[in-house]
Amino acid sequence: MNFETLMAPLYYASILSLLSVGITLSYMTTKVFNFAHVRYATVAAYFAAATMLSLVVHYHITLNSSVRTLGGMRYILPLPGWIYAVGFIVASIVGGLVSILLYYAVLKPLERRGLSPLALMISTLGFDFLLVAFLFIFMSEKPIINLAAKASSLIGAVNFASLGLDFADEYIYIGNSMIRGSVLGALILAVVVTIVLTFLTRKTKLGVMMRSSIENPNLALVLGINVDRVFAIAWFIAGLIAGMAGFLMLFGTSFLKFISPTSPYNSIVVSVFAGAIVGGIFNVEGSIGGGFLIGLIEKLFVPWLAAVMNAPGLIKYNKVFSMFAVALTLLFIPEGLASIRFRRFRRKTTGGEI
Amino acid sequence: MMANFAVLAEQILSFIGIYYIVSIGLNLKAGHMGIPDFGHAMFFAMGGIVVGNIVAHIAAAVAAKSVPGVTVAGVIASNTKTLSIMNTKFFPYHPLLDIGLVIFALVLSLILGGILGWIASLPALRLRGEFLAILLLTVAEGLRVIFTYTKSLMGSTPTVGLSTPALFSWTHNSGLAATIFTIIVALIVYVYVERLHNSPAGRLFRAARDDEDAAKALGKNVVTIRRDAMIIGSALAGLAGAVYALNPFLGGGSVAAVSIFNRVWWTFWPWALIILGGMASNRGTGLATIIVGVSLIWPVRLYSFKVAQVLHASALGINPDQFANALEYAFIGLIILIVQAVLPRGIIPEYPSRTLPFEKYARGKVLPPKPKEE
Amino acid sequence: MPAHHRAKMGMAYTLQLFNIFSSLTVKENLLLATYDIPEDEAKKRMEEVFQLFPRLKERLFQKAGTLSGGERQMLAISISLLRKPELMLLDEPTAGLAPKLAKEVFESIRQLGDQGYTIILAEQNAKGALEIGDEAVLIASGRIVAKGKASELLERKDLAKMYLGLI
Repeated sequence: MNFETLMAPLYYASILSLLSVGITLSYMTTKVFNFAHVRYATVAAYFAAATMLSLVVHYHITLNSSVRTLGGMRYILPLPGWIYAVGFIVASIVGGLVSILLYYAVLKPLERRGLSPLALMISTLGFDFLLVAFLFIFMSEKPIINLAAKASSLIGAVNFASLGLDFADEYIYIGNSMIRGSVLGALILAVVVTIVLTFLTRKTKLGVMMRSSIENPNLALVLGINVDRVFAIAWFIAGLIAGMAGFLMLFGTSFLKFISPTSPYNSIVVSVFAGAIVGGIFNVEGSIGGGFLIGLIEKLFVPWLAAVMNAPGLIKYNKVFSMFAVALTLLFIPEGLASIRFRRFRRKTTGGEI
Repeated sequence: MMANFAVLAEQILSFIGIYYIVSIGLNLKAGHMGIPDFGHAMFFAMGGIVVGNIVAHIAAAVAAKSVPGVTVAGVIASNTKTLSIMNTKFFPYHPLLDIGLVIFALVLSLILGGILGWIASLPALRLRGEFLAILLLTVAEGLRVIFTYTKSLMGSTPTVGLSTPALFSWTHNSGLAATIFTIIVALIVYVYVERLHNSPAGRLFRAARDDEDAAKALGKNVVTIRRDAMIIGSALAGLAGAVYALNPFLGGGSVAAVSIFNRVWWTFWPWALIILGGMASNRGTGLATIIVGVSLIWPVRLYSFKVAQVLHASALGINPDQFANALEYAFIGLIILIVQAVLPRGIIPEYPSRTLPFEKYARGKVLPPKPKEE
Repeated sequence: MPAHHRAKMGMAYTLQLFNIFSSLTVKENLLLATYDIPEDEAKKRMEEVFQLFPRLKERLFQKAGTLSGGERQMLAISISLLRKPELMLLDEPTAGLAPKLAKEVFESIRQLGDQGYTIILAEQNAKGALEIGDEAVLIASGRIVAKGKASELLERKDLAKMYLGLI
């Protein structure tokens, strides 16, 4: 397998895993499947793009030539690193804030009125529609188009002017192969998020409080833990990670497909839920792995299968494989792959010894 | 002006009729039985496929003998051309066949919807609550993908889909005829679900929803009850799909995977409507559909430009078209949130079923038996 | 007033069931009770608790779900103790325990009372509770039927009969 062909699947899988983990975090704490979760990423990406374009315009950032030639291929020059850094921070904070808004403005008041988890899940759907309405009004409209046009005339890039908003990638050489900065960033981010979340939940005071509030909220309250606030922090973290994923989406080749609420092909939500469920809805690390697995199935396994079976049409049906993965998981191992205790199998074969 | 008004009224009535049928199917599953079906759109799509694919094939097989340029293979291979020939040269002159095909389409869509509902009820027996909702959502998405990219099912271009046979073209005003037809079907469905609501079967649905163990203890088989609710609710959704495809105001003369599998239109909107109307309340769903039908089509779909003007949207650089879309989404979102916060039981809360003895008590002819004193 | 505010004001409540976090280790359970207390103070309190329940120290890194019934109650009481409460509410700490274990639990509660804690104990094991209590209130079918010194109530034969349902 060629190194280049691994790029898109790894990128997609990393983004799915970053989004799946948020679904799990919010489900574990409040027992609510959050339908608005993926839209945080879109909203965050929108704000990050607007901020980065504004910075380009405000600081009159010009690139001598927007295109450079490397190894016989032409690439668009990336913006200065600090602009990307600002965009990243804006995206994550916006994601976190939107999540907090949903938690405090919608979920808490409704929960206090005694609504069932299912009704709360539907209310997240209602919130999602409000976010969509927001995106419809502000996404493709004159202010952002003007901004994009101004920015692209400054740096000489062509692709800002359209709504594509494809931000240019940095390319990094590893030996003879070239890796896209966004892919590397997505991979590193997925790993870092896994490590940080594991450390947070296992080793820190906040993590212990979080796990105790999840297991027995009443007892946690009796011990003086503000369970609402602990859950709100979990939701903020979920939104933060979704915002980061949203920032990464800005570099996708098919950014519009991800971001546009009008696009009928916008079905990443289902893949994200698939990742969370297959990996384990009660397990943070499991859902990161699950998202990655679903991403690789959709973008790597299915194309490979299509090539092997000599049926190129199969690639389009990749979501069907996710559907089967979800159905089989829910029906046979409802707590997800992470709930399988492999040690138990080993013990059986070695005759009861541990 | 009058003609415009008539068309508008027909559009609104068609909209209300179709949404009543599709929502009441969901209400039967989610409201009466408590099955959170987030894949309702896939049952709806079955009806659209019956009309766009199966009925068109049958009609082409009949028409191929008399009308030049029509072949059975052409229904998929050159769909737009074949259907436009049939719609202008064949259907307007064969009213009896058209009526027969309409009835056939309704029956077949009920059957197909019911079969898919039965299949979907198999996991519904093992899973509960949100997990079932997610599973059905995923399955609907998987089916959408299968139908979108399989040429023999939905034609070659997913967004264009298949043109539908104009089975009301033999009347002078096919829009009016289709509207009347839609309303009649909706009324029949209303009478049916109200009868079901009052019947022992309907009471059993709600009994099994409220206390599964008690229903089991009384010797009722909860598994078959849940299965029946899934089958009936899904069959009604399939019926709605067929009506949608037959009504030119709704389908716009074609069915495509992007429209009949649209989960916002056929899963989330019905959810919003039954929440607004009141779960397990057939009349509430009807009232909610009428309210939303009048208020949504009127200001949002047709007068969005005016609303945008009134709000000075263009000064902010907002495109009125996008504004209309935004308004529709904001509308559905606000309905869900506000109704759940203010009226969690809906505008017409679930009402008791009117059984025969109950009717007598209600009229005051017979006094209910006094509870025995201990 | 939300429950977590009451806890901060010095009230500790040990639930009858689900009174420990079984997926957390014993240490994490204890740490949870001291998360808002300075570290050295927390350590000191922890030592006091271990003096009272030495067995918990042995089980420190074990999942609380694997403890025996008596140990669970001890852990539950320790969680309350670590908060140095002004008022401790114990809801049937001996429920579901074998008589021997129940005796141990009563013994530790008596020690706590001797150390000066104010404890309200709701208990169906009347004899055991009266033996260790100071003041007692006997409630039957939601009504107070007797109150007074615990030792006096213990002497009253009519109450014993009532307790057995003979009156």
